[in-house]
Amino acid sequence: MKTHTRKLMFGLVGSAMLMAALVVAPVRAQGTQGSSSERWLHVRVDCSDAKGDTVHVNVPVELAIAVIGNVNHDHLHNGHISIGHSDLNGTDLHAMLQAIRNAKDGEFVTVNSRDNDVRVAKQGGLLLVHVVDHKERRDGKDSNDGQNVEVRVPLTVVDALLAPGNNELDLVGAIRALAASGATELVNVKDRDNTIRVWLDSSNTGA
Amino acid sequence: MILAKIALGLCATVAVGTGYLVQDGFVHVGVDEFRPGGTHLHLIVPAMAAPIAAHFAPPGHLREMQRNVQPYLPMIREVLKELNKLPDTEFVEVRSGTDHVHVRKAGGGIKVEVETDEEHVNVWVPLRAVYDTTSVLQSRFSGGE
Repeated sequence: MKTHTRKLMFGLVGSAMLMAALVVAPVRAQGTQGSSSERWLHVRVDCSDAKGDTVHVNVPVELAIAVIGNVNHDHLHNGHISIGHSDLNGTDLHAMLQAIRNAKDGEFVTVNSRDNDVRVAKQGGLLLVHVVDHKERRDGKDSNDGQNVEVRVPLTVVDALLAPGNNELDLVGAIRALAASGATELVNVKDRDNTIRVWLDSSNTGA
Repeated sequence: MILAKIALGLCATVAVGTGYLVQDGFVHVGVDEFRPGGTHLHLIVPAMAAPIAAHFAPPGHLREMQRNVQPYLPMIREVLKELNKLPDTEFVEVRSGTDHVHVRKAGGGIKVEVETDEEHVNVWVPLRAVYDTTSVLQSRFSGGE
């Protein structure tokens, strides 16, 4: 084959490959558009030790629902967890959660001890749990070495969880209710070295 | 004249072949070990190799995959659909000293990067290729080809 013919063929083949790639690229790019109205669950763990470990997790609620709703294993089926009295040592979880839902706003549990302070309350449509662990008292120190845990659960989440009936909890429904509740801060844990935060918002970065 | 026809046929074949080859993108794998004699591996493989491999997987391997993978296929496919709707996002970021781990959606694929003092590993897999592979597997599990 003559040199100029070979060059021409290389040119043609190269052009064809480039054109094929250019034609395909925009088609593929269409599949990556996102929706901005989604709710995202964020988890941040920050350690203030020498290494300064950090863990950042950002999960869209719909993705969490897709995962949980399609798992069929053990007690979890199609987003529902089947529970029995034997699983809870005879505790009737449904009755307990129903009682909380139907109760008026107020403080249900208050424990103040040398080691821990615990507060469980219902307030403004939220179930609040606040635990302060007084490690410094156990260690005989003055500085605040203890752990502070705050959990906020919207009661609509409890409603959704209980919806299926006596022997099931609707986990997917609870997550949907959580996303719809407009709740932001869910869990806050602080101690001397670590901060853990779990919250919901509409940002995919959690910034 | 005959040479021109051959060239045209060759170009058309290459164009169609290239289009077919890149429609799912490419899987990128990079491994760099920072030690004497360490591995330095950089692979760019057409992603459509995965569904093709799934299509021609021998029956023995297929039965094993059916046992291990089939229960999770619906979940994987739903997750892929949801991931496809999302903008480019960082799902997980872990930093511990000089060690970094990132899992993110980038450019229509999932990218995993692990960086330590000893090695850097990064993998990028196009979502569409994974979806196509699950389609082939689902078809083969149900007896279709």
